[in-house]
Amino acid sequence: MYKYVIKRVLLTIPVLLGVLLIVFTIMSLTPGEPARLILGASADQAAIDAFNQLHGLDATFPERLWNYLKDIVTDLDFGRSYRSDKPVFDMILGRFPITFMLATLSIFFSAVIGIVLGVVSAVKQYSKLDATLTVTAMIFASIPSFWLGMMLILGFSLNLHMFPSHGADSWQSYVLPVLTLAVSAAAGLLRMTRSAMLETIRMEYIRTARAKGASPRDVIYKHALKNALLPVVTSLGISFGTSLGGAVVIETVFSIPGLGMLIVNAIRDKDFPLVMASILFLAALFCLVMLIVDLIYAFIDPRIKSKYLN
Amino acid sequence: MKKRFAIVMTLIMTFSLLAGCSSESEQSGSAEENKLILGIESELTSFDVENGDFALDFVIRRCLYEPLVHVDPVSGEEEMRLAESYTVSDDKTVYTFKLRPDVKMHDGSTLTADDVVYSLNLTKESSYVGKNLSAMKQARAVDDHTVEVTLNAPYAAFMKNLSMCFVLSAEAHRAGTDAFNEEPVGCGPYKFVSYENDNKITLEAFDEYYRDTAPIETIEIRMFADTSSLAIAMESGELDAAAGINPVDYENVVSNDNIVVDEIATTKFCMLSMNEETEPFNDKKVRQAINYAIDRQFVLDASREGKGNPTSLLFNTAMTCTEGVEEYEYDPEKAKQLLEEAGISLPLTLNTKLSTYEGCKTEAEAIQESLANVGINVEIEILESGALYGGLASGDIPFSLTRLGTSAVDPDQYYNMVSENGFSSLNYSRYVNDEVEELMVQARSEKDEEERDTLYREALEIIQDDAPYAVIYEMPDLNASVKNLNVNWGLNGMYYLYDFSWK
Repeated sequence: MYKYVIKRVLLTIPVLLGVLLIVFTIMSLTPGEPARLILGASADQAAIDAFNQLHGLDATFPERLWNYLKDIVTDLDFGRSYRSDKPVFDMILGRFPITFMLATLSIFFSAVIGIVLGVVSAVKQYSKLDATLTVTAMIFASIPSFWLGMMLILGFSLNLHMFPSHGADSWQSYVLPVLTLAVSAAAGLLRMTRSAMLETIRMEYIRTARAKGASPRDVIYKHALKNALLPVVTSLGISFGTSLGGAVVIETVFSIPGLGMLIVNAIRDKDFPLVMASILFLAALFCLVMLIVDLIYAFIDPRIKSKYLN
Repeated sequence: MKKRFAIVMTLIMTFSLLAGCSSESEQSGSAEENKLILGIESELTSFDVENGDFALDFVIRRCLYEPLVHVDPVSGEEEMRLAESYTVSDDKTVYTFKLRPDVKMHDGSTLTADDVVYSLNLTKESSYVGKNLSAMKQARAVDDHTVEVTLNAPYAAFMKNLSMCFVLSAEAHRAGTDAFNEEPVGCGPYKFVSYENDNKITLEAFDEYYRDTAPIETIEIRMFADTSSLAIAMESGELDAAAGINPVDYENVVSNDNIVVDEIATTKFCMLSMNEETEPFNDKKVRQAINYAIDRQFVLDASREGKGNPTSLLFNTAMTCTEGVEEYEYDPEKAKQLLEEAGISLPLTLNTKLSTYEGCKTEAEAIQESLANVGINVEIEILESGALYGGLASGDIPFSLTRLGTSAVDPDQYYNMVSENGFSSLNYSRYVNDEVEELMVQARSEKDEEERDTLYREALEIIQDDAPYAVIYEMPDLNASVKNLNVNWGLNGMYYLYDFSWK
């Protein structure tokens, strides 16, 4: 088990290195100099040159890549933001709790809503309830989140004055953005759970369980759900990753000062160190979540657990 | 089942009620608490006086810090602030400032000449606002309350530019910028309280401020990433004032009985640049024809709901030197005639594209239509702003549409747009005219206001005739506030929250 975890952690290193190389290359290939974007249109050549020299931007691409990697490996130094001159990880860690909270809350709610309704929908297949749930899920899965966000603001902030339209100051500020993120994720999970459940309850061992006289409740929750959950858990993990990405859009709509907004602004400025570090951070987080998902498998599926033990 | 439904509904309703109550109480009572909640569509770079040039960076500086002298951006009228008085040497290169002895810093210390010299040097070194002090050679403390500033050469706009330089506590800043940003120390009307979540700044009136204590006790500034969220927050009563309403949201915001929206003139403008080193823009008649061909009011209506001032003048029309200078009126026939005189047979399809960025796309499309009406066909190319600026600085983009703004309201700010010295920065048209160069340089050191205006007027007349640019419109800021708030938005985003009060 530990061996497996260590192996997986080590495997993230080439993944992160790949992400680093790709993002670094894209950032270097896209047109536009950071100096012009940060210092503004009125900056003259002397100011631009000074900026480039200060940040080592006058070097060639391989040189810059080498320097960047060297600083990370030798000093764990990811650099300072070009714009604010603060160490990038201070900025990222300052913003991350808000984004993490958004993603976690929305995944929690979407899991509760999605899985419960998915099971209900599968058990009552072809009933009116099932049809209603499936159609509603389809609608919510198709609504773009920024539009839903704006509609919620119009309804609940502007007309009803129930929740603030922006910021992350109190628990009320989280209600609308979490709802926006959770709804579309829940819709996806509902559909996923429903189809997985439908497949499972047609299995022979479910028939056996029913035949030996287990109560319908036990059949569904103990026998069927546990087996149907495997693909759902994978999709939950991926949803968490998408929520972090979706937060970029939602944070802009709700003016929430999270990691998403930091990245958007950094990309706009071509603030190299900040973009690189934020994306690496998210990539590492994503790897971690996927690792956790794999470990959860072991608890759900004894077959996998036995594999680890060997 | 029914019971369960009832429980769920009760929970939902209690929850909504709670939420409703708390935001209600947040909404009213700003005036009673003597607190101002200002929303702004901007980021913040730092709490320093020199690091950053976002709109909010300047708003904060005008709260936490003080300039030596405040100069009205248009009239040039001076009000003494940290300086009690100042003298200028006969050759107009040495300015000696006598500081007020009674200015307290937020940490209780007293302002000295050292703070001023340190702050000026800090500003001069800045890549963001250093241009405001590019004329300064050196600053030195003569004694504790006297500062002497020497210029490289006489510079008429020096006081105007100096009024945008702020003074902080040298001692606190020497301890390190990271620490300073945690707890900035200045001598302005407000002192720093907190900066939460990177989006909420709280300031508090400073009791020992050397003028009267600020009328509003607490200021809370909330930062927005998006103009429509700003407008909605203003409409829903979460804000007392909002700076930077998008014209698209204007009608919605202003329809609220409790809100007024002011149009504040700024130096921001939108212009076409025509690179004189490329065909067909090397012909003056073509550039003039394009100026005549554009229906500026149409462009403004299409892109900004008509909010703005259609003008073809390069210099900001708030400045007196622009009075009486002839403008290009919309005249498609005249445009066609000029093109004919230039030996161009219509319709003409330009072999260069009109380059612009996303923010000016609607303007570009309206201009494309205007030009098509006189028989000039052009394709639009949307670039990333960094690529656009880079291409303009290297002279690779012949035809472009951009928006610009100047920090001070002064004609000297346009020098880099019309001089060879600005090729790598703002002279997107690669425009050179020796006469203009001479007039602009001469006016720079001319101390007599009227004479200076005349020089600039002459230069502007030549520039307008040469038509290197086709200015489209000037763009006001739309700032909203609740009715019982006295506001003074100044000009060009240069407002002091000290001047705001509750009725």
